[in-house]
Amino acid sequence: MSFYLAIIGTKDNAVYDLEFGTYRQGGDGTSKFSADMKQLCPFIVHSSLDIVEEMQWNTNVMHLKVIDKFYNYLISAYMTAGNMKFLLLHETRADDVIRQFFVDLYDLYVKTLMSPFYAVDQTITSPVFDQRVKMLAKKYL
Amino acid sequence: MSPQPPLLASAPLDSLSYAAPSRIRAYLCPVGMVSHPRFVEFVSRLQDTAIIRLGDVTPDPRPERLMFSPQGFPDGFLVYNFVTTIDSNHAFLEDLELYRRTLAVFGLADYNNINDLTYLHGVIGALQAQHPQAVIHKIILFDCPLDQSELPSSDFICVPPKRASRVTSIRTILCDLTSALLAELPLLAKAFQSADTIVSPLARDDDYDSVMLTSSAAANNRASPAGSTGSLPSTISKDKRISYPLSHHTERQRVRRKGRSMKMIANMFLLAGRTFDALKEYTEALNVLKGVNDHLWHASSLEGIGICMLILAHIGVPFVLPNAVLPPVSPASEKKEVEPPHLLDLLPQMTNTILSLYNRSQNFPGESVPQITYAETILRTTNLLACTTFAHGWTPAARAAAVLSRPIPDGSISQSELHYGKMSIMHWISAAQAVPLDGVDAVDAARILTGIAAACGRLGFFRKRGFVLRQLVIDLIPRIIQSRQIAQPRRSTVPRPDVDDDDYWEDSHDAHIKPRDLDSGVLAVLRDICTIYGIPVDSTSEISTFGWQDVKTSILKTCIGLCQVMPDYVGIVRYTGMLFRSSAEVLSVDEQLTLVRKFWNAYTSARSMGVQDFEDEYWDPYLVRDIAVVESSLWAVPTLAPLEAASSISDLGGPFIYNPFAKKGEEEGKKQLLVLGEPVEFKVILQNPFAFELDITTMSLVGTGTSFSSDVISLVVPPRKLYPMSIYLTPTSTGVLNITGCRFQVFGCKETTSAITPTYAVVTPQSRIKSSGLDARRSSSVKSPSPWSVKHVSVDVVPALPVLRIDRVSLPHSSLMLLEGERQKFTIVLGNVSETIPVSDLSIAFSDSTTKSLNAALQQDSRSDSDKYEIETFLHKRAAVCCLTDLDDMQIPANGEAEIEIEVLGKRGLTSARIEISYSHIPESDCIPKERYVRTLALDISVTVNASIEVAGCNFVPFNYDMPMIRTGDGKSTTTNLLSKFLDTIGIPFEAMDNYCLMLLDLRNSWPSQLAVEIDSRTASNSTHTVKEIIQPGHLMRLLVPIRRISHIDSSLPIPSLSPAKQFTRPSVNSLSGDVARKEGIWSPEVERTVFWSREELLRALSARWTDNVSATAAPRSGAVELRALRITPQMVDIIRVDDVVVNLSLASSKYIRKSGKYHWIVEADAFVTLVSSVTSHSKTENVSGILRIQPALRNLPASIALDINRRILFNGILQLPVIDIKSSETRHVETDFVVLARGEYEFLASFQVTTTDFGGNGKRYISREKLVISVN
Repeated sequence: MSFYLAIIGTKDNAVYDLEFGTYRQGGDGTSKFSADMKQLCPFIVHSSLDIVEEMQWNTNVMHLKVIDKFYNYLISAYMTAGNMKFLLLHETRADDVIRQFFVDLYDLYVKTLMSPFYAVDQTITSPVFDQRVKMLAKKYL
Repeated sequence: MSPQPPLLASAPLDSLSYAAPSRIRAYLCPVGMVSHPRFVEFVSRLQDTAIIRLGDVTPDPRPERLMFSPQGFPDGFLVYNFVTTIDSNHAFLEDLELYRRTLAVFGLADYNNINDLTYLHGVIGALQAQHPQAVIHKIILFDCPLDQSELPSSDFICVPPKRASRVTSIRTILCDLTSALLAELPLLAKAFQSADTIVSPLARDDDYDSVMLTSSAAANNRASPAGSTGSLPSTISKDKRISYPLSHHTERQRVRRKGRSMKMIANMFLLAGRTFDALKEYTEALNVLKGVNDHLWHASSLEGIGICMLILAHIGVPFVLPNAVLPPVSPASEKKEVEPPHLLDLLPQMTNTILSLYNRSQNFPGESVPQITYAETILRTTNLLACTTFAHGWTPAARAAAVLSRPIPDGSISQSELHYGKMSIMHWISAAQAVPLDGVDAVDAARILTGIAAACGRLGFFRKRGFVLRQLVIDLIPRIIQSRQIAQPRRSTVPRPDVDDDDYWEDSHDAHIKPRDLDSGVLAVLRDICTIYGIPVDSTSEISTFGWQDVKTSILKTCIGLCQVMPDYVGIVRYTGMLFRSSAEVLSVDEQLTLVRKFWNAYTSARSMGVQDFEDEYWDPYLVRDIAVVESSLWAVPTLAPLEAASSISDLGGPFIYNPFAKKGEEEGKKQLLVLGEPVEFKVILQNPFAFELDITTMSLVGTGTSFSSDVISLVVPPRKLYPMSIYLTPTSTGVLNITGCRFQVFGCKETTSAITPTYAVVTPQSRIKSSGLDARRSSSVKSPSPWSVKHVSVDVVPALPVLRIDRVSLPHSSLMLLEGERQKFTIVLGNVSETIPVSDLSIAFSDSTTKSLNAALQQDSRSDSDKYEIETFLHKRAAVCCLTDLDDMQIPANGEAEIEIEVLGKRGLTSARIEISYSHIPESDCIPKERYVRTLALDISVTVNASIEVAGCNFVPFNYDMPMIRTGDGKSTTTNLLSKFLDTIGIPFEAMDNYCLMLLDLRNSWPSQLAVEIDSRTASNSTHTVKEIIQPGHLMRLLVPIRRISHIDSSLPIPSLSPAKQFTRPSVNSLSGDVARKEGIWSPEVERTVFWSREELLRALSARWTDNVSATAAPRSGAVELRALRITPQMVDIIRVDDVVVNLSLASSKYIRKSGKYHWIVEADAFVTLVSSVTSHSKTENVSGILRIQPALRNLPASIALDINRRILFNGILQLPVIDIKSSETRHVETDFVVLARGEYEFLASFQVTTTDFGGNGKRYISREKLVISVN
């Protein structure tokens, strides 16, 4: 199973994105997307933003669950208080696990945001953040 | 409720509206000479009246044509779908979906352009031949003044001019046409009923591409709401076809044929506006088809029922829901009165059923559903739901919008009233999106995708729409290539320049729409996509922080790809430019090279095609990183010099010599000066961030202020470089000139002006997020480059100045060799190059290599004042270079010459010298300008200075003559003779010997040939003694130079300083005690001053020269010996100087004494002798008073015994006597009588202790220089 995670800022800009695979079922943590799919992932996630914007006013929870799909792929979304969108492209439905993943990711993101050298909507380039997100992915997905 | 005649419905009807299958397709084509705008006008006039109420239509009187008579349902209406293209690709669908068939063909003719009506007869025939599937073929003559009866045939319909006709007249005409159409339809129905077989669309021919939903697609549909049955069997292969017994099979076929023909009749009823009959027929057909498992037709009938119900609901006619469409009633609720479901709930449910039936039909090859039908069914339902969403639920407006594509009036839509949320509509859209388009041809794929995109756009899901459109574009690229390959041979035989092959765009068959419009349509789509993804399309000078960089890059590449296959050269140029502008840094080198090659090709092609003004601005706003003036070697840069010296002093202002707050950094603020009419080189640093060479075709400087003319150059900037280049500029008027940037044109780009941007604009992150999502697009554009990062170069243009040149220098290679102290002259010939301007106001300045080290030495604080003075003397008084020509009134006319003579002094440490000639031109006018602009011309000369005669050391000896005379015992000794002879030679009288001393001067000849040395010593105010010697090379020689002793040194004078005044001077107080100080060579300030002034006096009296007259050269070298190398100690000063008060002792002459030397007497014992002490004051100023002390002592004995004199000499009086008020130059004699009692040798010393308070320090003692010696026999 493969995943594509993107953190989208307020200007539709990708603050962070990561493509990874599962460690479960003998996976080695690398994504198995085809070359076409790799190219398509950002577009799918980007097009789901419309749905996120539609959904965000209809609920008072941050985890919007699966909001969109594209063929066999599902897109789960998590909306932070600062209007940052966490979007995860995945293949099977696992709301609880993804919610835990998102909550922990939010924790990481808030820590990043508190850095005086980071401003909202800037690209996250910290290797530590990257490493921790990968650890989260390994833990939950 | 009856349909109101539409007032304004000029827009073409929505082809994906839910009720679209109820519309009659009518093809409009131009006939004869019709101009494009006229044709469009005609079409819109017809479209205004596309909806025909059946009650208005006259029924055909013929009884056999009454099947679709309008009288059957006068409340119903008939809708025309006027098209200007023939959709020949969907002919195979026409049986299943009759609305796709073109049932009417109307030729539109402009009566004004028709000469011969008989010509139109042939046209009718041609139309009938071309469109045999249509049931009526008519020609409508617009603006025809004739009456219908005057026309030759009933195939011609006459429309009066718009002004003459009432609104209803064209409606009447259309009603007549409808009547004719409805009369023809029964024939078609009969044909259907009598047909042997009615086949499904995909069963028609085997060689047609099998457009089937694949199993994966079916599996995908499972997730969609459409596929709620969830039990789709996988596609069965052909050999596993379900077979029936033959009889059963034929029976089924018969029933199926019957059902299908009933369904077709129902279709025709629907088209004819007989909705009730259609509903009835559909229901019957449904029941028949359901029985034989004809899923495809069954589903299609169901769809027809849905449409019928919607139309009936729209008209407002009550009807009974057919049982077939009602959901199966559960046994529990059977007994209760079941509320019939709301139509709005029912219709989507029906669509679900239809889709599941369609899916089921996949199992039967040849009977499966075409994707286009499948997708359009979903999209139509989506459309219906969207209409209800936007129109407050199931309102009449919603129904009108769904049936007649009427615009929904604006109203406040509150969320709660929405019957169907956007999200549920989105589910339907994604179901449509999931339809695989693998085998679908380009037109269908485009139609489906544009339908989806339109639905997304309608819901406000612009990103979704962008995604779908991108998919459409990507989908199109290979298809266009394919179609081109197919079209290539055809095109070669039949050239059709007006029709483009990219005929997926629905109006591309229309010969009146030029390919350019088509391109603009595609380009509009691309622009739309770009805007959604945050690529600024309109403004090229802005950087948008909106959007996802990777996505933007990918989108632009896609756009370029589409433009390439079209091929649209302008589009390639445009999107490549955008790509370079937004994401050059993420593209690899190879990608950039490929892109730019395509870009150049496209640009050249577009230019050769004659396209104008399509270039965009250059992609990098930071092309010009810096501009600076280059100092020219040919044109010396002038400097500003104040003309009046007074003004510079008054500028100082304030009491302080040094003011730390005074403006510093004069250098930084200094404006550069350009001279009128002289070209100046500017260095421009260009940046090329791209991986390819930048071909700049033209480039020139731009600026504000005074006028100037800039060179226009072309150049190539190498890849990924900061590239300096130079460009020349000639100012044409005086004043301030601001260079603001460069105007340039890069090959393939618009000519643009670029500002100087030394630093990148920093995009400050927003501290508050005011908007998010697509709304943030507007606020996230940053003007680039931002105004505060822009720099400009400001220069002053001054009036024209002359230019001088050094024509000749009388030195070989501008170099010369000197011995130390030697002076040499040379001449410089200056030429005025300027054609018109004479040189006036010439001045000269020098600097040499010694200056720096001397200045550095001067900076050291630890130096004593005298040392500093020494350095300053060398710095200021011993100028290495000086000018001998008077420059004050010198003028050099235009093209003239002038000669300047320069003298160089051989100074130690001199290696090079610089002669700076400043010149200017002051125009002769009444008002003298305050300041002038000066040009400087510099000449560097190199000097080699070799050592010649050096002072190795010196000492001073007083003339001392006592001892030899005593030794010889008589006055005629040879030593005295020698001394007096020596004194004679130097012109000093023997008696005045005390006023002189002898200097022992050691001189070394460091030059490899012998040198003659002459030393002049001023022995009196009017006489000079000269010592001459020849010193061999490398030898050290001691010269004896008589020196007149120095009197009157005012040691209270401070040591002067030649440097400019300093504000604070720290007195160099030495806290060391005298002994230590003496050991260290540091003297008290008073001693230092005394030594200093003595030395100055000494140097004033001395001068020394050397001559190399021995060497063979014609002009003998000669020079001065640097006597300042003399070092003098305080001990030497005692010898050199004459004390202020001189005490001398002598004996008054008597018979008892005999003089044996100047201070030596032989006295008899026990005789009275008179000792005369003379005190002379040399002080020039005051009278001196003091005490004279006489101290007798025994000679040559230790002090303890020597002073015990009381028993040996008897004095008359006391030995201490006051001497009062000695005037200047007065000698006072004090006599003391004494008797010597004992034989022996005695010596007398006298001292004078000053008691006058102000006389050079109280209590100072002066001691007689010579002891008086008495030998008593």
